[in-house]
Amino acid sequence: MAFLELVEVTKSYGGKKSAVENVNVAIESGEFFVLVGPSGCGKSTILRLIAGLEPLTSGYVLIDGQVANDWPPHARRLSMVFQNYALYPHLTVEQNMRIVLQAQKVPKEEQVKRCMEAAELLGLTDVLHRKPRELSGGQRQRVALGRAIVAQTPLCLMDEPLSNLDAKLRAKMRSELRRLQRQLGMTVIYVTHDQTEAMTMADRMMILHDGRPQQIGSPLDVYNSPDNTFVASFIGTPPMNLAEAHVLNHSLLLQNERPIRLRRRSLPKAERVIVGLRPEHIEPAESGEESMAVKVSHVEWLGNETLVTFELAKNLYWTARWNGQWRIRLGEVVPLTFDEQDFLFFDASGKRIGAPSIKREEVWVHQ
Amino acid sequence: MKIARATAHYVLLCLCSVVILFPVAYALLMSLMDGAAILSGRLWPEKGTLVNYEAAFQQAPLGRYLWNSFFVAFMITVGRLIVSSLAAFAFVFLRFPGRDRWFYVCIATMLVPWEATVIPNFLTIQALGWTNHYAGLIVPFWAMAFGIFLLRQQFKQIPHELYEAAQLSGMGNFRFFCRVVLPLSKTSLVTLAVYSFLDAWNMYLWPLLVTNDDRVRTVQIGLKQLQTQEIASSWGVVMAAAVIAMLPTLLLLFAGQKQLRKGLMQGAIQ
Amino acid sequence: MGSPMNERVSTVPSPAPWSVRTKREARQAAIKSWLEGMVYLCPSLLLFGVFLFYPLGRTMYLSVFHTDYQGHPTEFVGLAHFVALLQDASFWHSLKATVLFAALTVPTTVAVSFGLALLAHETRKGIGIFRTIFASTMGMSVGVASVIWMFMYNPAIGIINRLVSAIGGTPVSWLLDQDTALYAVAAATIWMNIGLTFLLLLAGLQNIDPSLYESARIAGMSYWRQLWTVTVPLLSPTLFFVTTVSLIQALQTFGQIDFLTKGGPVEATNVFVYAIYREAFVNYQFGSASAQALVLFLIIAIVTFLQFRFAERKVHYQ
Repeated sequence: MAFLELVEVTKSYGGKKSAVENVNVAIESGEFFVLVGPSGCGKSTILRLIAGLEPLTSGYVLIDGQVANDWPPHARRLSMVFQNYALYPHLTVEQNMRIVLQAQKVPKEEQVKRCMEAAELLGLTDVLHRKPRELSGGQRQRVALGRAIVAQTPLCLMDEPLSNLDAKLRAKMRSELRRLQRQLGMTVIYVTHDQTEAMTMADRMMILHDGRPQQIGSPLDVYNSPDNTFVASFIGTPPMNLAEAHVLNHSLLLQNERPIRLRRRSLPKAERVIVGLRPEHIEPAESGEESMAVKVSHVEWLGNETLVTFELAKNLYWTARWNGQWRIRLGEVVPLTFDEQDFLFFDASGKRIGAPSIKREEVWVHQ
Repeated sequence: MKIARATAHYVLLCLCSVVILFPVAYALLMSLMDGAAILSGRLWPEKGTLVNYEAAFQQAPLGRYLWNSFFVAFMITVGRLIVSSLAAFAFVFLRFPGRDRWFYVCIATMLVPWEATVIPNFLTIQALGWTNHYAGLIVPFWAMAFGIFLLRQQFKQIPHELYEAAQLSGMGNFRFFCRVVLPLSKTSLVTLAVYSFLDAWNMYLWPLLVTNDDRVRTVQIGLKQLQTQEIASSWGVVMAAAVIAMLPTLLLLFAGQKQLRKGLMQGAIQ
Repeated sequence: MGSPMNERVSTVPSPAPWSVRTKREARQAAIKSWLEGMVYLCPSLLLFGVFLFYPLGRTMYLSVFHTDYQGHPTEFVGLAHFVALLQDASFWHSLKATVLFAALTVPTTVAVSFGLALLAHETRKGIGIFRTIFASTMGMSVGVASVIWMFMYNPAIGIINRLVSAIGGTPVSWLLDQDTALYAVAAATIWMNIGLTFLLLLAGLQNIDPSLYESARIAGMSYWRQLWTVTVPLLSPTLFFVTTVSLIQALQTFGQIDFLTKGGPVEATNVFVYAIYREAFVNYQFGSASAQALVLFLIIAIVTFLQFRFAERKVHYQ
């Protein structure tokens, strides 16, 4: 039995277009589940519905198999980490953490014990007597996390907790959070707009767009097998290259200009498709290899890899990602090659066509 | 459960509203009843009559009082806005030696209760010959430390880059003040205007001291006059006058409510 | 200044050395900016000077003199006025009335306004109407409010006595009975002050981050617990501000007193400012009235200082 289940959950405000629609997902105990999508896609709304801060318009929230729609927040036994931390400015760090336990009438010694343990876990022992305004952003974030930890609730909700931190701290906290979650065995539902965060932290994720779930799956599943063009272009940096194409007998005509012959791959049975290819699947051609010549329009050297943007057709620019540092000049014409099997096809409305491309060996360690 | 809570909430709200509105409602009802009906102790007018309102305007120059209050309050408000905004502008954007010291001087004036100054002020106004004159009612109140403080807070929120850009483009200080600062500070200006107007309309001791005849008497003192004349005989007339006198301020309050609340939110956080 | 031009031999005077030139320009610029600043400040400073600083000084001056009926000082008497005040039973009575009046009006106004603000803070359909109603007394000027309450308090035909009779009590001469007069005026004052206080507290409530309440809900705190743990501490700056302002205002009450009771009966409502008014503008004792005004200034200063010293420590700023 799933730990938390959402069945046909819909939320709309005042008869206007719904904020979220037809959300269906089953989340297992101990899972780190991420809700990801651009701003305004409804991910925070779903979190708040799970928390019980707002009522559903229709659908069900099932906790441990029971319909929890009418349960007030504290009956759902969850804790929440807010984006702006929601720390009580007039209380010390210790009081901030203990206040949750006081409300639940936990005995005093137990309160102190849990508080000390959490403080040690998070490196906050030295600042227990300080007030939030005396702390740095990273410390405040950890206090908010500490509040969730001491509550020892089975479910923890996190609403973009890292978005107020600078990039370096964010990267560090990502691994910290994940480590803590595994150590404590918490089930976490995590909201973010950053697809890198989602990819690096999630056991499974749900990508949302405009209030509607686009796909649910593990990071690699979603990466390798996107269900539609939105997911394909949202997940992955740099984003997947997409182009409209006509399907001809044995080749594709990209944007009425660039023909690509396919020999080892069957073409989809449609006239017009959208073709997708990830940047890392475009490689520089060795001499003698069958290749396509393109003119380079932009190059970025990241040190460990080079991003080459080239003109595939008029006003159609694709990006290739090559390992290493390549000496390429702007305007140069370079030969490229790719594996036909790496193509993904989508129909004109953006939905994925045909059998998913052959899955690579999945190396996935699941705890 | 939720419905029970909502109902209880609405019931409480209504009860409180009744208590708060009661004096006003009462005055309104009484103003629509003639003298005999009032004396007989009825609460609700049998047939509403406007006879009190006519009498109110006849037995006292109520219109004159209203106009005086309006004129005085308006002039005070306009003067205060101009004087305070000029000072606040100087304190925020202009740099000159002693600027902060002068600011503390202005703030210090907020600590002085005006009772400590009212006697000599009266004597000054008397010496200037401004008694029974609009000037005596208006001019002393143009400088308002609270206004300077409020507007300074507001002006400080305007990004300094705007000022620098204006200077680079050759825009003079005064033009910057008029074209940029004032339009961007509309909320605070409106708040200050509403608050100032209500405050000025509400003045009692000063007009009492400084005015003697009906030419410049404001409506607060006018009401007092009316009440002493009509005592025990025509309360209906007095209530009618009160109802009329409360209309301008109520209207202003309703009109400026949203701005006032926004402005108070910004200003009340210190 | 720089070297005088007429000492030069050449027909074209060469410019002053760089350092001297910039110093001179800097000085001129400083003077220019000072002038400009003062132009903007001039109206305020002039008005403050004439109508605040000068009168303050003059009050202090007058307080140590006997004055004639025109307000001109006649005879230097030193601290005689102050001494006389401290020995005057009427002064102490007036002080007592003022303190009692403040104690009646300030806590009640703040408490009631706080309650109303809490009621009006929730988002419900039509809450805007109630907010407008609660704020409406801010639009009641002192003359309007006084005359209405005066009528309500009328012993014969006022509504209050009618209600009292209706439930079987004996009607009271609210404004004419020295035991009830101060309370009656206090009730009217509370009603008048609720409007603005309510608006200020409502604004303060709306400034509190809602996620703090959500966090409390998730933790399972009851409504009253949330009130105590979240609302009051986070509202404390506004509460402090409102209390301080109300207190100072209460000590300066005049309008309603003049309207409703004229300081009576038997000086029951002879609050400080009214006493000053009487002394100066009815008895024409400007010297002694000035002394009283200074005493009031001192009292207000002390009260404000005490407020800041003791109450402000409990305020939680963010």
